[in-house]
Amino acid sequence: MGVRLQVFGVVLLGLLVSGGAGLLMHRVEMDNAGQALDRRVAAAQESVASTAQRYVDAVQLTAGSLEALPKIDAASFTTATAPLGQLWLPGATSIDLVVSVPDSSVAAAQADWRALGAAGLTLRGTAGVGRHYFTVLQRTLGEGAGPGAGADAGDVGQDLTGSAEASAALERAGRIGLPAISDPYVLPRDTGLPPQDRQQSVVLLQRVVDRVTGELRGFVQMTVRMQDFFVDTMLQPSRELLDVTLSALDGSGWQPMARMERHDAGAGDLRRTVLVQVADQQWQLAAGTDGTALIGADGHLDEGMVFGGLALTLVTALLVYTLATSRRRAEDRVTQATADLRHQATLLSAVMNTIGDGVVVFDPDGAAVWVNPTARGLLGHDIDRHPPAEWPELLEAYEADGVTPYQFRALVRQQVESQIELVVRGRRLDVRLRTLVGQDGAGGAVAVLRDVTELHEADEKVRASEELLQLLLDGARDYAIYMLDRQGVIESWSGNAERLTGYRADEAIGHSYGMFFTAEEGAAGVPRRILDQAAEHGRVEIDGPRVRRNGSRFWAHGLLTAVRHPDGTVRGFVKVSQDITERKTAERAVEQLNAELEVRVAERTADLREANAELESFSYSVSHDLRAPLRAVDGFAKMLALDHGDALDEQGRRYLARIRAGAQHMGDLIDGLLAFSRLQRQEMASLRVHLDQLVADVWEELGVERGTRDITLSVGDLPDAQGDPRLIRHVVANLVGNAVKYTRDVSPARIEIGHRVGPLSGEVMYYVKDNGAGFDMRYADKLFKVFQRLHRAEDYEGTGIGLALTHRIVLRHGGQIWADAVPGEGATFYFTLPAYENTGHTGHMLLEVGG
Amino acid sequence: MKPLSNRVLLVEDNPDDLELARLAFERGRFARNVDVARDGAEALDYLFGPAAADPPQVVLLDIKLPLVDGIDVLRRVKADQRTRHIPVVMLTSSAQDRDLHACYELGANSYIVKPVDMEQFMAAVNSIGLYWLGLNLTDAHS
Repeated sequence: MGVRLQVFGVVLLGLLVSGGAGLLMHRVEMDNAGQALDRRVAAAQESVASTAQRYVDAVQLTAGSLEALPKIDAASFTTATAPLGQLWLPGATSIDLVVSVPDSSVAAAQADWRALGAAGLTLRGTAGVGRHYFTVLQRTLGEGAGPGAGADAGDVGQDLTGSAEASAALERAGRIGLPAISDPYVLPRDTGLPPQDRQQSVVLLQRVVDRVTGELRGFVQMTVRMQDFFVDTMLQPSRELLDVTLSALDGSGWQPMARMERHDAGAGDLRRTVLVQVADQQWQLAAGTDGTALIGADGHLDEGMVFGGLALTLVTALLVYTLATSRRRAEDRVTQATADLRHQATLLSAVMNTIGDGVVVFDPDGAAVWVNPTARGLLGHDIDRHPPAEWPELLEAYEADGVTPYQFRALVRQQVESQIELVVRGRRLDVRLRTLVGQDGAGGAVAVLRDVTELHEADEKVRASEELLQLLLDGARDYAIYMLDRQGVIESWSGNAERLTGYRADEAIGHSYGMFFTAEEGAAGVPRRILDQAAEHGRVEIDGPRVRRNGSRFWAHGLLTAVRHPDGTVRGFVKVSQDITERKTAERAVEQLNAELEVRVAERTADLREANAELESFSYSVSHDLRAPLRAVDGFAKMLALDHGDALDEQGRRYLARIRAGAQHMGDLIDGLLAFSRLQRQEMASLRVHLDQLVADVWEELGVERGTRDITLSVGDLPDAQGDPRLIRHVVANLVGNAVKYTRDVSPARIEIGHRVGPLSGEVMYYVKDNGAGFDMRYADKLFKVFQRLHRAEDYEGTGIGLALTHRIVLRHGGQIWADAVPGEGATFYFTLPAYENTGHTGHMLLEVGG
Repeated sequence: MKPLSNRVLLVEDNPDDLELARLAFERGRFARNVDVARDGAEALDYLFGPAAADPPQVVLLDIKLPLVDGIDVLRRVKADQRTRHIPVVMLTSSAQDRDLHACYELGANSYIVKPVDMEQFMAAVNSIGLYWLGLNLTDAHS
């Protein structure tokens, strides 16, 4: 029941509304149409006036340029009228020069104009007229227009007096001096056309006068077919929606000149009439149309409204009926769907809240509308509470390099899946973005975020270690590193291995490493044995000749290291090979060099021995031969003293004593030199030297020098030294003797002998200290030089050889000697010797000295 | 027993040394004849020539000699059965003469550092055990 009532109500209401709306719409339409017509008529009026004015202007301009000509002939007319050919003047058929000719001179004028270029001009005068107005020159315009003048269309030579309308216009134009327009008439040239093509035309006339005398030279005439003119002029303002008629007034009323009808003829219930002023004439423009013609495509809005309303009413009623009957079903479906959706949403929400991946849902504008807890944790912010513009600052996200700030881009409205890596808050996120496109095109996107930091770091580590390994393998350019299986079959290969052996990877892998061995070694089973040794001992080092792919040999140093399975069985070997050919060559060169060196050393040693022998015999003979004259001096001086001493006075005997002392001193010098030079050549023993015993012996020997002097000797504990006892005895004798000698003027004299641990390990430092004369340290550098003395001979005798000899002995033992002294206070001499090492060699013990 | 020769052979090329030695013997009233050879060759001629049957009681032999070196003379004397018993005292310029060592190995009996004087001569003679020369000298002195 309710449904029927509803439908009835809907129908009734629809009818009322449709009818009322139709009436109202009709009224509105009519008002609107009147206003539209007014606008269009005004536009048409403006169009006719302005277009006609262009024709008038063209005629005036032509007349003006002809007036400027001193002489009008065919050529100058053509030139003067040339611009008109460029103008768009619809309906204008020609522009002409019309001249006035008295009936009596028609023949002469014809001859004259023919002479002026109007070829073939024939003047056809109207009978019974005293003065003719002939068209003598002509330029056709519009379609078929050509440059030629006077060679047209049949009305050149025509007399305008044949037409009442043209004559009247001629009369006005000549009188007013301004353009005049004729009443419409059919041009004589158009009279031959079929009636439907015959148009009303007008002529525009402007007189041409001599500017000096004011004498009339003729008229410029433009002929215009009005229908052509009108159609073109009206096309725009009418849009074929109007009936328009252009009329001119003549004696009998408004004469239509041109007419244009609208596309669909209708009631024509709207009309307007306006006047158009053109030159000296007034034209009437009449327009008519239907009220509906001007609005919309069909102009039947009011009717459409009624019928549409009815239809709508019916449909609505139907719809209401359908809706009412199926609402329950729809409600049920909606309820079910809502429940399903709720269920799905719950499931989805549960999934989203629990999965380890971050999920962000974006709306089509790119704003985050939903963020699951994982995403919130990964991003550190609820980005759904912030517009995308704030994200760059909020998230501080970087691209995979961790440095370049990530530029958030707008989501594209296409189905796109993309994957990027971002670094957010120090964590590396793998982001998979999938844009969603709904049925309407708008979609949004879902982003799935996964923390791949650890994965990435692990990858990085693997990559770094692989890189490192590769660097190592490549970097160790001199080493070929490759893998063998338990049987010695090559499993891996490297660029360096190829460089070393000449075999490419495909030529090496799968082959036994035995191919690098020489044929002899291969036959002897060397490769096999090496593997077995490496398996047994873990690793094995081998040197040997190897063969390259091209057969050339090189010397290789190889290291085989066994690689084991977890259970300890040998899985294979790592082989590291190095080309040591150069090293081998160098070693051989060194060996050869050493051999040569030994030969050379032997040669040199022989040379040296020879030289030494020569030197020895030289110094031997020197010492002997130098002594001989000395002996003579001393010997005979002695004889002189003994045999003839009584004959000499005291002074003479003193002189003799001086001679003998000099000779003896020279003998000492020669002895010292001899000892000094001999030390260079003498071979040194390396025995245990008891310094304390040596000191005791020397002290005993110095008994004569000491005499009855008051000397306190203190000897500390003296460790044994290693060296030549005879030579070291000289050192001790020299230093202690010096101490005795240089304390001669001191009483009591004190001499102290002791030791300290040497500055270097394995040596002992001894010292001999006295409180004697000392010396000036400024001259310490002369202390150990031969014949250099720091004291005058009359103060302390000496040869200047003793300390030099001591110095040399200490040096030959690898020790050092130096002194510290203050003049008048004493001197301390330090020297170092190798400490005695108890090597247990009894042979040395037997040769011990001083015990 | 074969009567003892009363001669001494002095082998010395240097006239000064020779003169000083003679002077020393003279001053020491050394009674024996002192024969002189001026080089090694002459010494050998003397020892293995006319004097072979009656050798000198002692030879004072300079180490450095012209023609035949003193060491060579010594070697020849000590190598020969006929002369090896003759005592030889080397004359040297220096007690540090490295040749002295060689001389002892060759059989030299003693040495004297030149110039020759009586004290050294007597010490050498005594060390050799030529007591008769000392007696003789004592006789001569007395």
